[in-house]
Amino acid sequence: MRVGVTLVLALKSLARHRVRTALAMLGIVIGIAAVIAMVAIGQGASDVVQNQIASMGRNILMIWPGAATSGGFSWGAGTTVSLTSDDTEALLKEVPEIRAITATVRTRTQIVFEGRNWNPQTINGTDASYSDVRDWQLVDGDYFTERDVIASAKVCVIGLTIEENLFLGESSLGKTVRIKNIPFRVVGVLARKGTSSYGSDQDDIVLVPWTTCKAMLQGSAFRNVDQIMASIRSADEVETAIASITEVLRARHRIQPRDPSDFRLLTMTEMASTAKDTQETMSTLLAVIASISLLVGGIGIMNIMLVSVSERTREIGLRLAVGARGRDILQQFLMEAVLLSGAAGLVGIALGYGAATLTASEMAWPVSISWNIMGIAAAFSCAVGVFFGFYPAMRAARLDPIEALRWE
Amino acid sequence: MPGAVSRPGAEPAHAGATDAAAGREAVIALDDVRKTYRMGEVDVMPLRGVSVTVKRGELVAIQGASGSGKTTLLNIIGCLDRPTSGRYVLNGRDVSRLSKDQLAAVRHQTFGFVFQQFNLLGRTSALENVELPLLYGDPPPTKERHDRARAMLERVGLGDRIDHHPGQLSGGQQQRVAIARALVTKPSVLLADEPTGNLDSKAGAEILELFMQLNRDGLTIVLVTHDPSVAARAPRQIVVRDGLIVEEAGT
Repeated sequence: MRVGVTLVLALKSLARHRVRTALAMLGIVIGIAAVIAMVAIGQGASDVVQNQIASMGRNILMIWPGAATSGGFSWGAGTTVSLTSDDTEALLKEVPEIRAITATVRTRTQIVFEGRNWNPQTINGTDASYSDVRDWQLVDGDYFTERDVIASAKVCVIGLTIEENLFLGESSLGKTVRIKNIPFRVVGVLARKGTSSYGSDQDDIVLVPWTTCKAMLQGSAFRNVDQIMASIRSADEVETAIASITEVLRARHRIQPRDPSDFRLLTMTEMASTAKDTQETMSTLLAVIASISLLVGGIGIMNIMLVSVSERTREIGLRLAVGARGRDILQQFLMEAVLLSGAAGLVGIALGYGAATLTASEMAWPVSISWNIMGIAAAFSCAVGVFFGFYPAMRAARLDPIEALRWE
Repeated sequence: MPGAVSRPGAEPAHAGATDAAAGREAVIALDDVRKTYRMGEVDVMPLRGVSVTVKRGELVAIQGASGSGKTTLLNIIGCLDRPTSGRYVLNGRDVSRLSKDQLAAVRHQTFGFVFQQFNLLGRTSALENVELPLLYGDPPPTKERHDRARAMLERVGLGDRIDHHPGQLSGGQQQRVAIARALVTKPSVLLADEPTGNLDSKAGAEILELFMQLNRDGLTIVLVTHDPSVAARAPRQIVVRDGLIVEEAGT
């Protein structure tokens, strides 16, 4: 019998028992819908995290001063003054894997413009490479230059949050703001970066030359920096870059082979992989839930198919009498089971997708769903039909025509 | 009417038929066919050595009481069952040892079946019921299936009922749909098992008249009945008792 004919036959037979068909599908519909909705919401959340990590810049490696230890007592991370801007230059020179490197000094204080004031989350003293390392473009003006850094120029680049709050929507370019009563000219405005993975507003930022920050805002004569950020040429070279950087810094800081380093290294890749691990745990959980719901749904289908086979015994006998072979009967019932589960899968996908979209608009949660997942869901529901439909179909195919025709 | 009695192990005895259908080829030729079942602890032997020949164009009634073996005989003739021993030659081909799938193909090509219970699919139009056998074997295109089913329904006098479901038809009409279904594959033999058993006498008479008419048009028909008055309508009758042909009558 041709597959097209079988398909029509199966469709008609399912259409003859609408309520039963709907009930048989229900288990798989609910299972698939739940999984699709959960995957969509989970994937959406994970995308946000990955985007935020990516927004830090490409292949970023961060170096912080290590913990100062005196007499076995640790003062905690960042309590040494081990990193300097000279380290930055040395690393750029000696580690070829570094594409760009920037040093940062952090401080927090008020910024004032014409009677309005604002307390930015961070004021970063940095250098001209910052935009390059963090892959952060400007919407207005330019970055301060290397010359500005050397000259400790009183210039600054501000984030959009600052511009919005101090300038109330007007352009800030060329205006003068005051930080610790020192006038800074705004030379550039950063493009919007959004919320970071920890929930802080990345646009609530002021960048000034680190020399200016050190001398004027912190009043310090030292050349130490709070953080060095390096952008590595490619993801493959991150490992070797870590090794080279460690070697160079330990040599420069004259650390004995057995002593611990006086700095810490963290890569964005590590953060990303932590986030990925979390997501994979989620995925495993989802897969388990999906399997259970498909199993339950599949048993539901098998149940209904068995009922259908025994109820239609005479029909099967008749079909056999008029020339159907066992395999024609097998094909017909298998097709019914696959249609049932496949259609249930599609309805489930649609429902799950609808639920996810509704969540997205009602709760303002990000959701994202890939065609892949939908394809897998559809394929799995069909597979469930084949698997759980096979036994009932086999029973139908093995019927003896005489016995079947005599069935009451 | 001249009669002949067949005994177990005897030569195929169909003297009356031979006269009537002389020169015509045999469609069905059973030679000493036996059938044994095992039901629990006991062996049941519904057929104890039956030899019978049906020629093209005959209308044969197999008559017998319940449990006489007449239905088993019809099942074997219809290739729904295989003989335990003996030979069955159908249209010149030995079909006594064919596989299940081969038998299905033989049934599809050779026979049309009519049952006492009609065995129509419920909630399915008369047209679709008649089309059913055309779905198997090597199915013709949809259009041709429709046309052939429609033509067959017209032939049995139901041209105005093709969209009716069995539930909307009388018993006689349902049996006509079943006959149309049996004929749609252009079988060489029509097999009917108690075709009037579920009908009132008027509808039953009409169905029998339809059989006679189909037979006059050249169709070979074998029908099974317990009712001597139904059997009497057939030109040739075979009486079965205890798994043996005990009487053969016909012209």
